[in-house]
Amino acid sequence: MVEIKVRLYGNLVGFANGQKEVSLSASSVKDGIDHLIATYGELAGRLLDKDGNLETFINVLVNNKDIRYLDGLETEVKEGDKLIIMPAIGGG
Amino acid sequence: MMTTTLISHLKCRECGTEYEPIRIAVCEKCYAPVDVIYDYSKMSFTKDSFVNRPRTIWRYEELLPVIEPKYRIDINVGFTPLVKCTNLGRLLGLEHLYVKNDAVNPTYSFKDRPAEIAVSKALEFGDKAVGCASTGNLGAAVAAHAAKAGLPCYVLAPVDIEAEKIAQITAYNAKIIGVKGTYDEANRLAVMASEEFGWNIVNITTRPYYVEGSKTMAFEIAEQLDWKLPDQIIIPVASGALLSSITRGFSQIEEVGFVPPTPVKINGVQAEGCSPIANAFRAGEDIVKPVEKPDTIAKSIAIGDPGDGIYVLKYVRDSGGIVGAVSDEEIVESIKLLARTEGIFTEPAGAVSIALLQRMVREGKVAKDESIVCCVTGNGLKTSEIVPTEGNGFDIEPNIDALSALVEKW
Repeated sequence: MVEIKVRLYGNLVGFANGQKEVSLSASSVKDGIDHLIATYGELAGRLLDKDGNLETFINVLVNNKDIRYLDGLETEVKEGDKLIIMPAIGGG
Repeated sequence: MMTTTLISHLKCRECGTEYEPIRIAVCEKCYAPVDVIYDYSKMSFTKDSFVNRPRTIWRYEELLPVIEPKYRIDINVGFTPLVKCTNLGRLLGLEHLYVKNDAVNPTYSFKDRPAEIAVSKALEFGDKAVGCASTGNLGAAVAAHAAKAGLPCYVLAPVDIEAEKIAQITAYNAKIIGVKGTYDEANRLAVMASEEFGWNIVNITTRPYYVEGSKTMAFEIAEQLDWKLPDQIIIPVASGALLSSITRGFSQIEEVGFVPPTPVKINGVQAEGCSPIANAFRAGEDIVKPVEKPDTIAKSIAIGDPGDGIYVLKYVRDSGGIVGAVSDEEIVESIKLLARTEGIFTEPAGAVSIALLQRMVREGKVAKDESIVCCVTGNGLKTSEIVPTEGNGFDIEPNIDALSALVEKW
């Protein structure tokens, strides 16, 4: 387990008691999200679907890189990594 | 004065949650796209109502989401030509081939349509600045409308977009922020900027309204075909928002009873160097695997993580159409073909529809008596380096002998 920072965007902040940035311990992205949900129950069902997969319209980045280009939720994290969790708002 | 807009409410495309017409980006519950819903029961206009209306997108004001006319920014967008392509049609063996030429909008791309609605809506919401994430065309469109509206404008775009587009954006006095990365990275930064600085990034912050502008292309096609829908349409696809909007536009024009119910085959086309939706279509998948590093000359449609990708797959499959991907070589040849047969000069992102058309003809996917519309979405002058003079340019001394010597060779 390492210490990481999680930055939330959009109305996700409201479901984390107004905390934009949260520090927590985790070994992987999935682990970090699980801890986040354990602390802020209202985030449950917004980040992961019932099968434990990332919701369709949520993006997660590790140090600004989309986890879909890494190992997805299984992506390992290192001490001091920064996780960003945000609604996936299409541009174009 | 209130307009006759028939806007009723907003509705989430996935979970169905309804909202008042507020300033909203996506569904607050599931983060899916939100659509504008209209109340047709209050409709008091008919096809005859259009006779004396302006030849701009505002002729369809009832089906657009701007409430008060005083907030409308109008730089004469839309009602672009639907060109009957007799020469290209003859070459390809098609009797009813049309090009919807959106290269001749005020800022030379279809993006004027969503930008005009979005900047008008920004004024209605009382925003003091606007911006967008862009591959260049939207940046120019929003910048021009912001100039007309007297609002500051911030454009986030990949640093390697074409020089012509940068020149155009800066001429309108917008600030262009060149992001050293892909469009998707610029878009993500724009989402953050929207929150950090409160900017109205129009293709994000007020996206439900923004995308409404593009459906006017569908309304115009129907009207220009004397209130009929075509048998098929080919639409360039980046985020997929244009294809979704045109599909919705065809549905709405049917719902109000202006055209008979018509099964239009909706076809989408991407560039091979950035074809996440075409890849999913070919593989029979419902989810779209993003492309991390797009690599194509069609920079306007180089979006690796398309927001409307899953909806493009649905609308295209439901209609019996296809999503294809064409190579950069096919794109360049198609730019030349359209220019040399119909006198229409498009950028690579517009030529993809002509490239797919040729492939569909070869594969027997379009019958000679079907009506088919190719959407040409941007102007060739925005990407002038793509088609060099290729032996068609000659420099001579300013005298008739030099000219005669040249002409004798032809």
